[in-house]
Amino acid sequence: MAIVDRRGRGDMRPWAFVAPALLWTIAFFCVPFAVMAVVSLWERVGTELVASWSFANYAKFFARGHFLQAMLNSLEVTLIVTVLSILLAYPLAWILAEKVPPRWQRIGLVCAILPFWTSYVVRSYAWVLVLANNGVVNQALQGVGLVDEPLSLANSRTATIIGFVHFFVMLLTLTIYANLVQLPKNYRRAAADLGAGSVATFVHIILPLTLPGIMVGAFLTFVLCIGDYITPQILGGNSELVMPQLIMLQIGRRADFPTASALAILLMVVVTLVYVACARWLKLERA
Amino acid sequence: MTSAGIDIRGVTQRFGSFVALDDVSLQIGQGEFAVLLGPSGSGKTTLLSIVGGFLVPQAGNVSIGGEDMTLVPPAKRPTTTVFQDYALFPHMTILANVGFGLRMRGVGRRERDRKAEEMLSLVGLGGQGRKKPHELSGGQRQRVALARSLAVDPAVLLLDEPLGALDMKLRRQMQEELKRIQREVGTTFVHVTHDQEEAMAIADRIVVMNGGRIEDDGPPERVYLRPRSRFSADFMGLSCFLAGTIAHIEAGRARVLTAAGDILVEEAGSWRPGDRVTLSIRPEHFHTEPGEDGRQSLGQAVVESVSFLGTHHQAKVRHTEDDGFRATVLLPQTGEPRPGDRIGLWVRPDTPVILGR
Amino acid sequence: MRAGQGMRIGNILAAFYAAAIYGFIFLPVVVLVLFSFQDGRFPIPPFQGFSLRWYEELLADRRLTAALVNSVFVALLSSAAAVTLGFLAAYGLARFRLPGAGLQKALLVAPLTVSYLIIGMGLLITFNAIGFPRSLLAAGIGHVVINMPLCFAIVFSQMGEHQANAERAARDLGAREWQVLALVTVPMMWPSLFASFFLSMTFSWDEFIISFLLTRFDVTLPVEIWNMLRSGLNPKTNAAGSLVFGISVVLVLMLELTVLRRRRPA
Repeated sequence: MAIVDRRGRGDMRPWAFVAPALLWTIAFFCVPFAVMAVVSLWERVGTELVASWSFANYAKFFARGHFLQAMLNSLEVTLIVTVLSILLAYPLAWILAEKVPPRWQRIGLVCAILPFWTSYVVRSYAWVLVLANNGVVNQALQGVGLVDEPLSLANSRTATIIGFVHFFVMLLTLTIYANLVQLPKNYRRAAADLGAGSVATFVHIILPLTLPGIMVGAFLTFVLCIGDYITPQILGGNSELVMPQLIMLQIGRRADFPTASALAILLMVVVTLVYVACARWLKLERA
Repeated sequence: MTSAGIDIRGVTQRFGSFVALDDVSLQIGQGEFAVLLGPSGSGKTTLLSIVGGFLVPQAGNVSIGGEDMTLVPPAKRPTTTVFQDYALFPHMTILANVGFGLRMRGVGRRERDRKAEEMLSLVGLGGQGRKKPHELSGGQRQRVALARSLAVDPAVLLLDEPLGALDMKLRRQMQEELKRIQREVGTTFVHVTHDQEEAMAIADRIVVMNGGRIEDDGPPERVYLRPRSRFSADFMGLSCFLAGTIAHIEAGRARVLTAAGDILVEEAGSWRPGDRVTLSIRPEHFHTEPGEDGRQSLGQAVVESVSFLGTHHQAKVRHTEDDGFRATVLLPQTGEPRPGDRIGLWVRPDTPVILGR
Repeated sequence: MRAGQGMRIGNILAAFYAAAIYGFIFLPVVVLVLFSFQDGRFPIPPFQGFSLRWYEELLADRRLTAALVNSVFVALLSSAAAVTLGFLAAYGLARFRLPGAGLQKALLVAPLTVSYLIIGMGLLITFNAIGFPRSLLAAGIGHVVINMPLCFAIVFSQMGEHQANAERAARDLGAREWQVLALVTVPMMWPSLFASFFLSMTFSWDEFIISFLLTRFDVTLPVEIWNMLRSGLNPKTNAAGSLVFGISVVLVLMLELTVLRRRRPA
């Protein structure tokens, strides 16, 4: 036991440290959120917002096929991206942690996530260059004679998924790697000592212990992916809208803030539900 | 240098449902080297935190040098603290660390550096002021922490298990250093430890704590030889305990009936005939042969295990008559006691201590 | 012997796999940067020769350079604000017992779980309602909202018991609260403060959607690049993108070299 200090309860000084950040969060995060919630119950008449207090905007979501379709598209894309990214990133993280000599691991990792630091806009634009009808991929495929006609890769859901997977493979490599290297080396030695082969060691020891890292990464992927506007807008085009595109359409073209707010809140509800499910599952894992 | 006494009265501190200190009162004299000794959770560090001002007790008060300090923050008290992990500022040089307290008191750079250098010489680190903490060994960091706390001339120096992180040899060496420095500066030292050997080596006075209460309090010799509680006897070195009943008392001596025979014990204290008591006997107070110094037989015992400790053999024995009576006995360096050997047990009347059940 | 062979095949497979994924990760960046030097009108194969003319055009473009300066300003100021607020909150919550500390922490990191689009939209509607104009200041406020939780979390996680003891020692030796902060806590926390500042810088520098929603006449670089996209594939856009990427990489490498390198020996 070391020296502890707990001075009187009436001490107001600590509040001076915490208050600025709290007030900032309340003013620019909580209040806007409350405003959004209120506005979602209003309606747009002409160019004015009228306080009509109804759930009409939410009802619209369930009534209009293409609204519901956008949510389904969002969930589908996000799910595919999350699973694909984990499947692609895990082996890379494992190779970095196990096969690469320790002094090179850091460099390998920094390289693996370097393009992560490009802005969304630039990264998506770069993929358009790669996937365009006369872009690098198509010209290469035609050059070696694999296809005669250019594949229409850009402006499709495939392009959106490629763009997303590119980003999240980097993110997940980072989180899974971080989890792998903090596992004590002796776990592996102990398992081997007790007669487990490398596959058995992986299945029974390594994988269960890295599940939390995977889950954290998967949750981050889910949240960031389902809320992103840029990647689907630039790479996917307007054919199969996802929620953020739909929301931006309400704001941009029609200045319909009530509908946009309702859609944003519905999107948040979905994310929260996933979070609750994840949190519960993670806790069960730990127990 | 100034020095001050400490007066702690009726201090109680709870953390949730855990009672860290239960109505503790303690007076420590000016210039005394006091050691708070106890196992973890005994409340010794909490008491130190309260004296240092890091914690305001829920009840009771603390005065230092005759002034009530209960509500005074650490900076305004005439105390400084040497922390368990030394808490040196890693980004400052040794000299800047030692001079920090003086800087806070508005002392100019030149005077500050002079004083800091003087303190570093006192702790045996003269001329090392330009180094950073990470360039020093554990023992050296310990000395810097000591110099830093002493540089502001505190009336009371509080030490929170300061030697805990050092290896055994360095620890013994630092104990002597601490004692020398304390004599030189004359400051009141209050030192917390769970190591009873350390406590005996350095203290003028040992305060044994357990479960938020003071179990015993006195000079090391008294606390070791005549402990006031069973806990104190057990915590301060090895002891064996023998249950008995006081038969009668004459001229301050008690005759105690035990399963191993009845024996005469000097210093009956305030016990009365019929009291159920425990006799505490140190391993070095058992004799294995009769002698002329009033030794009384406690019957025979069988050796169960032996370990050789260099200066002697230490044997764990079981009494042949009373199966509940197990003792640790010191046997001579020479000779080879083995498990299964039978030995006789004798004690002098002046060595056992009568304690409550 | 057979085990050794299996190992070797495993290593070869691993190398192939790593190469493929690295290829996938770097493909768009390489294409982007390569064709920013295209000596031709389209950033698509074949590569017609090396030229810097798109970069020259970029620097001659007033709107673009103005956007670049705006971005730097917004990134610097919003990161400074985010680190300051985050650090103070972390200090308060790590060192003192406050009622509802758990709730306060949850509130402070809550913006991390909400998409930038929704944060930006909420601010847009609120600012519209109170008549606060769309501007760089509005975007900066948004960037503080998204970066402060990160700064708070990083600094809070690094506030250990060891630093707490050093602060106690300083207080014990007579330092006032502001002296403890300025002379002990900030210098000791320097690596994490530096790290959170640089991380905020990169996030603010790359951020698009909040800036897009909250700025109007003066815009940040990602928004200006978005505007350029309307003209279709163009090597000048490549040059702008390469520039943004280059600056981000410099920021990240600085972070890596200064903070993370220094932290390791300690």
